[in-house]
Amino acid sequence: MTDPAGTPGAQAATVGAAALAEDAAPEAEPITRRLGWAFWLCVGWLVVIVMAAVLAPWLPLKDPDANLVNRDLGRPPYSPSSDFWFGSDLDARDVFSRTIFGARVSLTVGFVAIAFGMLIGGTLGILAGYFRGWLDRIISFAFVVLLSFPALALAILITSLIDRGLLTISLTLGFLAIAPVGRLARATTIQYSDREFVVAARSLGARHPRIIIRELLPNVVIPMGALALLGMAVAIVAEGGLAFLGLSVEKEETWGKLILLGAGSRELENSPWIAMAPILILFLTVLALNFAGDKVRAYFDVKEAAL
Amino acid sequence: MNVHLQTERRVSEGTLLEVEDLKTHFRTERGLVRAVDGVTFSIERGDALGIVGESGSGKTVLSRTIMGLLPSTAVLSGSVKFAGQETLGLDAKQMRHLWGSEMSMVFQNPMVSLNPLMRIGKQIIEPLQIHLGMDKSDARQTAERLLRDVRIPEPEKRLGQFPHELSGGMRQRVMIAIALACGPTLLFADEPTTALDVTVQAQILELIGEQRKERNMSVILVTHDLGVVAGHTDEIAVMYGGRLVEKASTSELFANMKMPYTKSLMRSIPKLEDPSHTRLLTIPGRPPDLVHPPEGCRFAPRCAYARDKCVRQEPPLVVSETSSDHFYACWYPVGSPEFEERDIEIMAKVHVGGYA
Amino acid sequence: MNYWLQRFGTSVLLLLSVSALTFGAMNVLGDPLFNILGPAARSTEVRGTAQIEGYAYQAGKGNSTVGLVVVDEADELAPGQALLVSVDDELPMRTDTIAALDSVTVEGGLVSIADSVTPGDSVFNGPDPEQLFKVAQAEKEFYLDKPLPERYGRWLGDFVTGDMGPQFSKTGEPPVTDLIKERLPRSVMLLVMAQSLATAIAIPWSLWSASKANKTVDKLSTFSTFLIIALPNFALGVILKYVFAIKLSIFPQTFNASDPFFSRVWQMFLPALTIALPAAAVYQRLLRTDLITTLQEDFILMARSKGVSRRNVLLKHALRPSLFSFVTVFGINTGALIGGSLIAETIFRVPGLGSAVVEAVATEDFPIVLAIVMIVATAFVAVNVVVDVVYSLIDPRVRR
Repeated sequence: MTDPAGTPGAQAATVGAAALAEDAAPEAEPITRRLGWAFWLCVGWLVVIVMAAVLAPWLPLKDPDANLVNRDLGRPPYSPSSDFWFGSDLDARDVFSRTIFGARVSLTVGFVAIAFGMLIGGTLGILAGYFRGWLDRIISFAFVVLLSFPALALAILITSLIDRGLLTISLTLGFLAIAPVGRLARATTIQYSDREFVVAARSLGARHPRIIIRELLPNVVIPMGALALLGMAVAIVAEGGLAFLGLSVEKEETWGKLILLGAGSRELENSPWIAMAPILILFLTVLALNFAGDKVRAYFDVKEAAL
Repeated sequence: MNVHLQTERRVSEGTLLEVEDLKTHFRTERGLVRAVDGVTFSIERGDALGIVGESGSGKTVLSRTIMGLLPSTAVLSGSVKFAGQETLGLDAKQMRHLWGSEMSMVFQNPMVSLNPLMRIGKQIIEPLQIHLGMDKSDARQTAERLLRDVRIPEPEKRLGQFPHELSGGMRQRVMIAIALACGPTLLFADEPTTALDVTVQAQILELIGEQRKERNMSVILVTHDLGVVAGHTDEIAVMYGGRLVEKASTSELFANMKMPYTKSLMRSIPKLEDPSHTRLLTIPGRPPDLVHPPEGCRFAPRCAYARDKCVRQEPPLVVSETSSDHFYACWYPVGSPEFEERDIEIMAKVHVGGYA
Repeated sequence: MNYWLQRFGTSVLLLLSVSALTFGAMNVLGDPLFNILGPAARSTEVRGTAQIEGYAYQAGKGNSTVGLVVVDEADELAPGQALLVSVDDELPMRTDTIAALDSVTVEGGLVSIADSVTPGDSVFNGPDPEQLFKVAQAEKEFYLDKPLPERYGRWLGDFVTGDMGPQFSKTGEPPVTDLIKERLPRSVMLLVMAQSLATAIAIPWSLWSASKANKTVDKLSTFSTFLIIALPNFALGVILKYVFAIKLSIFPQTFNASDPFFSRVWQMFLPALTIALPAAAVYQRLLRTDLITTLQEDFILMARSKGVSRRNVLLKHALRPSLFSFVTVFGINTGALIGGSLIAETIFRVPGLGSAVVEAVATEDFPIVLAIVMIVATAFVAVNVVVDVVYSLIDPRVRR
């Protein structure tokens, strides 16, 4: 449309024309300026699970490591009941409280991983996108090298070489996030660097750090924020995958480890809740992160909004 | 209702299209957009009608409404009779039989209107296969002939090429060839020359005119440019704010323009005879809000000649004293004393030589 | 032409970087000697008992003395300095008992000497000579005494000529190359099946949802993609295995490499599905978005105005221009999946490259890991090139 988007008449023409995709085509996706109730539902869940994880030691939960054998109920594992909300595992440990305590670790891994990835990847990406030239070439090349590795294999390799502590695993997963995050940061920075307000700032004599921090960063942070939510979901699932292979954090319990414990054929048949409960919580959390991340991205996506 | 306008039932002369009080509204977040708000006209077989208006006047929506290319969310009312049959409100499945065979459209920007990933030949052959049931080799031959008709050199070669391999003018010719492929009786040309060089514009318009005569085809030429319609239409209709504000035969319109709006359109075209540094009279302001149109004349807010009455009351369509086919809607049209009064002031500012 | 040359150069550089980094990481962070020889590499000092006064140590465990060696000539040694002594049977050995300092021949290498001892004192020795021999042999074979860059160079040379070295953890067993040859086809088969399934699901699905965009069924469909993607792959695998292999017994639980072809294909179905479902959801989302965007284009309206049916507008006009994002992601996925899916292969016990990596890392078998990493990286690069070529096939505007 060559019309200036602002005039009401042109707007009408634009709406008309845009809606003029023929009958087989839908009208253009509605410009959702609202995030929607589903988004807030996801945020609500995330808040709940994070709070539960943070406050776990002070919540009235059973001791996650205690063997709460109850003669009256027979031999463990106990199916879910009012006493054991998610049932118990083979050693009569309360699955519910273990899941909550497991959340502490899994969420931490996800958060630290993505924070690390964003910090390093984001910085590198912005620098590459802003300064271009040889700096960009080197950084972009580094990204491509990182992306060429089989991710899970690399994570397994690094953690086996160093150690399997909480920090190591988190940082390793974060290390793997650097490249995807960096590429997005770079692309967004390039996109915004050409915009008028950056050119204007520069013509006013603003120096590079100022431009980057004041003009670019606020705009780049938004799509990165959406990516952060999605990335955290990926990190949590990755940790789960590692745990499933028996190669995750050694000391603490994570969701993945809990699932592994319940994933044997016999356990699945007789007492599926051991695996299914943590699967459910993990699934809901990842779903919430994915959904929220997608909504944030759609909400702020400049291209989609400006029809 | 079965709408199969076969060749036998085709209107060979006389009224081809009748549009009566056509309204096209869109439901949007801001409200109901009255893109086309009561348009009435008709066109005979073989005639050319020019619909002139700014962006936002509703001219494009009008042509697409008549074709029936709008999504089902558009609110339509009024009547559109094509060859005597009511087509407004038919669904896509029924209209599909008309599209490309009885009525077709040439779009504005040939670069984006042709499928960039499909060869030219295939795009021309498509309607031939669909409507005329031709087999591949017949269709190919016909396509070649069509390319020749629209004066594209080396037609066999062109059939195998992609749109980006052709120049803008050639692409537009291809569009015309596609539109003409099945021999429609009504051709819509929506800003067919806007995206082209000035030199090519004339060629395209002439081509359309030629084909019109050869096929006895009606043409509706939609444009913002009065210059385009000047030499190539029998009748001109001027649209503003979703309504027809003036309609007359071409010669009559240029001789006896009644609407100040039309006059302003004329004046905004630079002419060679004007002395250098003559100021171009542009029309200030923006097109009206189609959700909440003004009470009075829709052009009044921008009209240099508007008076109180114009803002308060909407002028009706009246017949001009100069010709019985000339309609316009204005309280103080060109030639009226009120108009002349204002005009003197305005024109004085224009003919100042040198820098203003 | 220039373009392809440039690409080739970048690709080579990329592969070199990947291999160098992996090689370096494994050799710097890890201990290759340890991986070859196991705990023996770090065999600590062997205790012994001083026999005579002077400087002494005793090789071997227990009481057995492995031959007293009297050697001639020596330089002066200070505490902490040591000697490597060679005797007739060319094995470099530690000195057993040093009768007198001036009777020791300097041969190079370092060996620690205890301080002065009196008979009966406990003495710390150097490594077991047998062990030392193994170590020296290993070092020669794997060039461990050479600097890192040189070792990398040698490895690279071998690798490029097809020799991926021996398996660290199973000396004597077939070299890595054979292992790869055996396992690669299975991962490739899994890959082909998974991608085919995913595409076969995604394309019709996306066409359908694009034509019903934003209606309720479409919203449900989009929601279901979220569900599929949110479910972790291992959970999906476990569930599929449980439902279809255990409970319903439609598919077998594990993979048997010696079965006939179609049998194997059947066995691969569930693991392929585990990979394919989330991939299909991702592909569908991409395709749907791109289709909806394409359907806004003018040439679609034009096609409609020619009388083309809804179905053909979707299939013949809208689909092809909408494939770009899909092809990109499809390509990236293919590159990544060449290394096998670690999770799917583990759950369903498919002996492919993915499970090989998991086992290899567990046993710290570096050549295998290195080889597989290289294969995946190469596949990644190759697939990128193929994607470029496919682009130019789909979009004639891009033809070079």
